Amino acid sequence: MAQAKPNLLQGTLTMLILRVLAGGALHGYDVANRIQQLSEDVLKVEEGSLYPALYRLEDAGWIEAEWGASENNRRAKFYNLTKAGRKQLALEAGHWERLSGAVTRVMQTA
Amino acid sequence: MKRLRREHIEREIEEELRFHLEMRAHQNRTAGMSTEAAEADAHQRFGDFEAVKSQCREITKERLAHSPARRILSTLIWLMTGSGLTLRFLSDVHSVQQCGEVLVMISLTWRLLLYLRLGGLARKPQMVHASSTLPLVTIAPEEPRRAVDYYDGSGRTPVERILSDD
Repeated sequence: MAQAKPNLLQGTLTMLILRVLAGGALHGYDVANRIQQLSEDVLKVEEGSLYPALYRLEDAGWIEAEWGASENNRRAKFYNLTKAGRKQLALEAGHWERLSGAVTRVMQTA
Repeated sequence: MKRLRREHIEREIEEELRFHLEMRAHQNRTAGMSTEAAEADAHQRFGDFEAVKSQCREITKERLAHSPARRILSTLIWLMTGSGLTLRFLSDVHSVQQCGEVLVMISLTWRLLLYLRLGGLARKPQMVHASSTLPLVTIAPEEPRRAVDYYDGSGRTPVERILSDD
């Protein structure tokens, strides 16, 4: 029987997107690549699904979009973290630290 | 006006998503894939292009429908409707006796408008979590074990080896 692909916890993608955008404006393609690179190819973003997530983050006011020129001089939409997005990132990072710490403690003792 | 805006939104979404596909295909070609294979892989990794485009369109439409400019406009329409109806009722007053009835009508009208207005405000959709369309991020499987890990020359399967180790 085929094993299901393990998914990341709901909400984690938000944090990952906000985190990579904290380093500066990126277009969607680079967001996906950065997550994959920084995780040393462990995490793979489902590329198409990334865009609705970006649009929702923009809707929430955590990121803002602006059209600009890409590295190969193509018109591309760049996303940037807003002030509210930085606050949200700090909040989500705190939650994640607590959650991962708790899971690690359980796994080490159980 | 509405159609132009809709077309503009559609074009921008399409351009953004196409850019992604082209970047992926370009990277694939740089890695040595043929043009056809590079494009096929880019499409496969991306998933359902039309479904993604449709989701992006819906989210954008929702956002625009609740933009500050749209809210100011709807508030102005609301105030003008209320004021217009109030003036209309007041113009019907020809005697002191009618005053009471008209005031009741005006009061009911504003209550109804207020109810509709508050209902409209309450309809603002809640922020849907960015990852509600899971799976978005998957964890890559571990590197497959080298054949030597499985076949140690003893002719036993890994499970048999583990059991015999006990």
